[in-house]
Amino acid sequence: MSCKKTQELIIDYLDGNLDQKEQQIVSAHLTTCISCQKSLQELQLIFDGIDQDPEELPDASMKVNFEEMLQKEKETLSDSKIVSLQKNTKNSWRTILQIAATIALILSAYYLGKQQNNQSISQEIAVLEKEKVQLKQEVTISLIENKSASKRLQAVNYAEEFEKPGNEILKALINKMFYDDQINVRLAAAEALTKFSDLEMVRKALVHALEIEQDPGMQIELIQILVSIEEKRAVPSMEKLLQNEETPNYVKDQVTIGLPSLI
Amino acid sequence: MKNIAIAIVLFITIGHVHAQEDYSQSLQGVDNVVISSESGVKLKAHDKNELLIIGNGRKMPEKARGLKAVYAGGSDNTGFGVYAQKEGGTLIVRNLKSTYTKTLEVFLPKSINIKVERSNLGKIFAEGFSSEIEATTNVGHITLRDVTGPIVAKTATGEINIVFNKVNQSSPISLVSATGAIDISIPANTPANLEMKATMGEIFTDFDIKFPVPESNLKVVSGKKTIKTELNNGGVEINLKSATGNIYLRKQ
Amino acid sequence: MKNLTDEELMILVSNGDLDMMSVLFDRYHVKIFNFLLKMTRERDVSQDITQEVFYKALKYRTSYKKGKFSSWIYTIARNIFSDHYQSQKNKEQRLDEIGYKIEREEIYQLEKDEIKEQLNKALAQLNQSDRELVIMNRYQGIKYQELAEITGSTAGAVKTKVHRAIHKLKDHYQQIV
Repeated sequence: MSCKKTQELIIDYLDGNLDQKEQQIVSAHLTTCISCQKSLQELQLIFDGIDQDPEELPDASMKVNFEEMLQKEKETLSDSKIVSLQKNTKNSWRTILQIAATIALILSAYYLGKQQNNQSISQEIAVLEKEKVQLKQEVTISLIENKSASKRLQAVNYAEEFEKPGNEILKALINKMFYDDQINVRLAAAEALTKFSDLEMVRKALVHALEIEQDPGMQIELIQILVSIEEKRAVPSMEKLLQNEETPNYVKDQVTIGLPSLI
Repeated sequence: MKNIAIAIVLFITIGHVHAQEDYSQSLQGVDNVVISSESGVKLKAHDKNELLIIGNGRKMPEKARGLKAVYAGGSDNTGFGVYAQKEGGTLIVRNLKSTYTKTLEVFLPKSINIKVERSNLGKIFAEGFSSEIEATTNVGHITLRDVTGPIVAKTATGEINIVFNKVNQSSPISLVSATGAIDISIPANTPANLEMKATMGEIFTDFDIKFPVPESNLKVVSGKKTIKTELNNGGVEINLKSATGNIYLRKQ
Repeated sequence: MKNLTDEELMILVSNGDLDMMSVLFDRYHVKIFNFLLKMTRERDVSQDITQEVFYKALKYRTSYKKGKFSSWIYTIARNIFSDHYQSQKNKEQRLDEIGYKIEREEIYQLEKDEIKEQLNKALAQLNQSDRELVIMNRYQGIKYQELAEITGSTAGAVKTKVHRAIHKLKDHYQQIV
């Protein structure tokens, strides 16, 4: 390993953030390289110095001032009238109140700043973003039928990240919830759909899924989802599960817990 | 002198017989294997690019000499009660013997992707693979050692026990059990986005898990206990889910 | 109440339960104060700004948007500090001079204190953005992911920056020693 590479890893080495193999490689280099050893010792000294630097305590008056300020703010709230800021200028908060306007400016500047970072190159990004979304959509659709279950799970995770997924994505998710070789993928798809449960198409699919589901693990997941999105149309199939002798007890338990909040 | 000669001859003969008792097939051009078996399956990694089925206990009984074994599940093209066939880049391995027979013991290359399915009562055991493993059982335990993932495993009532020597960051890990426990060990420095849900069971770990932040307000959704957190600044998705079993997440 | 997370408390505050801010103040004011103290090397200024931070957090409670509370409060602290720093650049230089003087007088102090002071000096030689990264990450133990949230960056980029800053700190430190 080169000295340059070692220098890049040396902080993680000290912090114990490397995996075993990297740790060994760095160790090996250190035993042979005096300049990297020196660098390691210097960093260790600095980190020890930092660790031994105790926190200082502020004056006790800070807490007092804070409580006073809090009290005032509460009065403002209960008055529900707008109290002029200039009235409360008795204590050490005076300066603060005077710059309240500045603060407001800073605050808005912060949020504006955050946006501006995007806006300054907004046009380019808008195009890029659009392409990115399209690309992501394509990747998702292609991955979701992958031979590997882990890749299919990744596709489901991608799908979940869309703010407003297209119909194609939604259909693919619903399809995965109903049919996939691997229950893990079906569970993940059901969970992902929860995020889009404001769409009638999704709600209907979830209700239907519980009606026909045979796997207990899926049943539990669906019951929890349907309860959390307060979908009353799930009540009949939940009651059916309760009456069915073959339903495992732990599934019935979920129905018993969830049912009251739907009826 | 004579004795030694006999011993040597004996050794050679035994070695020869032993070699005949295993079945091997080259895996040139194969990158994944799909195994279905009613009985338990034990998979081990070796350095050769071939499939090796341990013949011990699988050969035909003496009385069947001159006869062919007939199985409901398909034709025995290996002579070991196993159907093995390449289909494109996939090797299909079907154990034709019933649930109650001896565990099927197979050696495979370290980096081949593995899928074990339809293992109903049988256990699945795999060790030493740096590839993707998918495993599904109904009752049998799933035990994986010295693996890296990605792993997708599901069992209805069995337990899932996995020891990772490293966690592959390429795609998600998902372990689901309905009533059995999930017990996994991962290196302490593993970056991951961890999601754990034990609906009725409990979760135990020696990782420093932050208390979950409620999603919107303080409303508690009945019966849902999901812990979402990042390990070491976040990384690959690790999803552990058990309906009534406990979850154990250990630092390795 | 004590069992609630920072985020739960802040949600309560933003919903009008202002007393909960008191708990958050107890949890965070020493940390914020120390962050500012390292940045400014001025006790009074740091106390004033810390007061401002919590005043602002309370005043603009409804602008809290469910993210990590610690990221939010640090973001506020950084912004007030930046503003303060802009108007005080000249004063800052004077502070450096005072620093030198103190350094000379304390030359016979214990080695530990010496290292600490030398580190403070080396720290002061970093530019503002490197300095705050080193302080937040190494002195205050804020993880890369959270630093990314505070500075509006990604964990990977922040990590690279922090590492570079530490190496710079090391170089400055070596020059001082």
